[in-house]
Amino acid sequence: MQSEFVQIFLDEAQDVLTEWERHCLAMHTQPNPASCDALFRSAHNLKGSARSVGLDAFARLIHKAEDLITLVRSGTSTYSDSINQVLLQTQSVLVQWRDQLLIDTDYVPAEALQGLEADLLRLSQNASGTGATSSSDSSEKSEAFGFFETPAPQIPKVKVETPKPQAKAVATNSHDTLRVASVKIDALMQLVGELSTQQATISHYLKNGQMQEQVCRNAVQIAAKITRELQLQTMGLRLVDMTRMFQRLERTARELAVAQNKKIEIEIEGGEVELDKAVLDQILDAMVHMVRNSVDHGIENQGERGNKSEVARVRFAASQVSAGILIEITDDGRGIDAPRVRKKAIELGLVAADAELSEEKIYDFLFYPGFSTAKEITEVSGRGVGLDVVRQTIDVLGGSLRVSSVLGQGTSFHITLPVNVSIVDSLVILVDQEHYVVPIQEISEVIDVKAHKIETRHADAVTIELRKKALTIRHLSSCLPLRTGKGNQPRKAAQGEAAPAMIIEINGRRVGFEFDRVVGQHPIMIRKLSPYLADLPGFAGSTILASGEPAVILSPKVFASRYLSLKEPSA
Amino acid sequence: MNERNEDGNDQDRYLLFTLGQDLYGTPLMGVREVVEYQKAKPIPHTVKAFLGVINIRGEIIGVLDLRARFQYQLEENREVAMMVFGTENGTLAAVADRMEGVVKIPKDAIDPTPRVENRLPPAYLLGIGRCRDRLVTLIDLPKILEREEIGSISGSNGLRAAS
Repeated sequence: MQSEFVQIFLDEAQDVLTEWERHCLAMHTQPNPASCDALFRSAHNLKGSARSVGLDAFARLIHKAEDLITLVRSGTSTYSDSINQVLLQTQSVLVQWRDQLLIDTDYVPAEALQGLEADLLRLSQNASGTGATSSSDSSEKSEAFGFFETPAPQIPKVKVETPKPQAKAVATNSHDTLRVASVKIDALMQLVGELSTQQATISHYLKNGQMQEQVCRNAVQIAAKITRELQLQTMGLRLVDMTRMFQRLERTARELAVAQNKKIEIEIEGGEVELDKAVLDQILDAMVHMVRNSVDHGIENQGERGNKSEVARVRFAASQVSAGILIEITDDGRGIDAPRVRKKAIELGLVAADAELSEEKIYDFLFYPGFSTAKEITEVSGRGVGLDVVRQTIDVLGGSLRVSSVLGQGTSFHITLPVNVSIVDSLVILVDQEHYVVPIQEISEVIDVKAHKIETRHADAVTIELRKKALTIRHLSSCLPLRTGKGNQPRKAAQGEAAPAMIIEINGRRVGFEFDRVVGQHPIMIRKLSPYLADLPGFAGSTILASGEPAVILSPKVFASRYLSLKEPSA
Repeated sequence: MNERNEDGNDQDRYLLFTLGQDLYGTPLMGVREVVEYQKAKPIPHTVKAFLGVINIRGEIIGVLDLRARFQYQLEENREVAMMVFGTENGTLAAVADRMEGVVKIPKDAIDPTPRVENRLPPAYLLGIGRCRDRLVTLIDLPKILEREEIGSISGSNGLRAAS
């Protein structure tokens, strides 16, 4: 009965909680009455809505936070860092709580609540009780939190729960919602209306066997035009701006800076730039990782910044470029020590000791699996994902990543992403008489194996020489074994027929995959793979070919990276 | 959906199909649609019972052969209609030997705890019903399909197995 209203509430809550976070961050930068009022309104409204749908425990927590905000607002309490932190923690707990409520409307995070509610209460009492907090018990801490003049009381020990993978699964499942301006929906309705008119005309002529009539042919043409327009506008529905992501990055950076006693200032530009929500969702973790990396490794510890400003700057910027969207993360920290990276690369055997390398090539090593120049892996950035995963995520999305850096002055990550990943230019190929689709951006070139001399033959591969470098080529069918067993016997190209192979390049290493034939090159609309098939390696999605036949979209980079991590085949 | 329309209870309706000599029924409410037979496009790295994917009005849907899945003999490849189910794990189509239509089996004609041997997982057995003098094994097919593992390999070691 209620669940529909709860659903509406949860959608709304997501937005309000984002606001909440934004106001907290604004207060952190510069405490001001306007942000404080806005924060209060967010909390107050959310509490009311939560009550109205029967989420009393949810409302109760907000109420406690609201009490604290009220004290700050009335001037009874001064906004301190610890208040900020507790309010942000409350927000984190609420966000996760909300995600769980999508699955189970009775969920209450009892454990997280206990400590948090106590902290909220204590801070409220501190403020309203005997007056101001005494400065004696916090002289040590106030040094660390130089943003405010007010001494910071003891930082409450609430466990900051980082979003678990579970929460991520929630975000991508069918409960996920999008907010869309109603004018966009109206435009779609209009188009659908027109389309059904044309369809009626076509049906009529079809029934009377008059498909060739001019009126009918016109209708088919108009319908095609409307369909294209529909497709375009429907994809536009998925575009969202970057505000929310930048906010998340800002918070990540600030929390980490506080934890590491670093002073930072954050600059944001281009929050209004729009990007496909699917791209944004997929890139978020990678971006968070890069920001952590910048703050953790990039920015110097206090007192190490030499004659630079004591407060480090971190800048997030987005802009529209011809290739799509350019996102930049820039810090004015210590920069990348290219000679040291180079030395490490040589030690790891990634490159010959006497190789001539451009700086860009050297920075590239940072994105190799298992490469880390940090003297010791800090707990912060060394958790699970490395920069190699960042690179992989960007690759999969069809984007690119570039690093620029000046030693002692800072580092920039430049990430280019396609606005829309739904349509990609692709090669349709034939392997074992089945069609497969490969995004062009995955392929560095296509060659004819027969035009090259075969140097060595292996059990399941050949080695040829391509531009003076050995290149191992396997048949794609060995990566795609079919149930029928067809895939185990690669077809030999007949006499006079080309034997095409695609070359895949990863981190400067190449591998080739032979296939039977190129069928064509088309823009392909990517559809999600059925969840039943989602775990299969190297499948990036599915699509429907012009013939109406479904086909799998392959990611040969996945195949290639597996082979590159294996030993070269023995002769 | 109104559960109590004039015809009685929609929940009493079952879609019947045969596998070998056995007659099965699954609640009609759980069936999204029944579509004409389509040749499925095979997908690498999948189990034998998974025939591949088909295109239903722009949606790409996997097809599971219930005969192969539940160890029935594959005598001849009849091109029978496919039942389409929406499960928690996405949409999946299922192929049986023959479709037998929709029947109404009232609750009191169903023995919920029969003692019979069955090739299908007992957890989703709804009971044994009686219809046109035949016994029908009633199962919750979408629930069974929901748990199906289609991939024949687990992600990481797939290529080693394949090469």
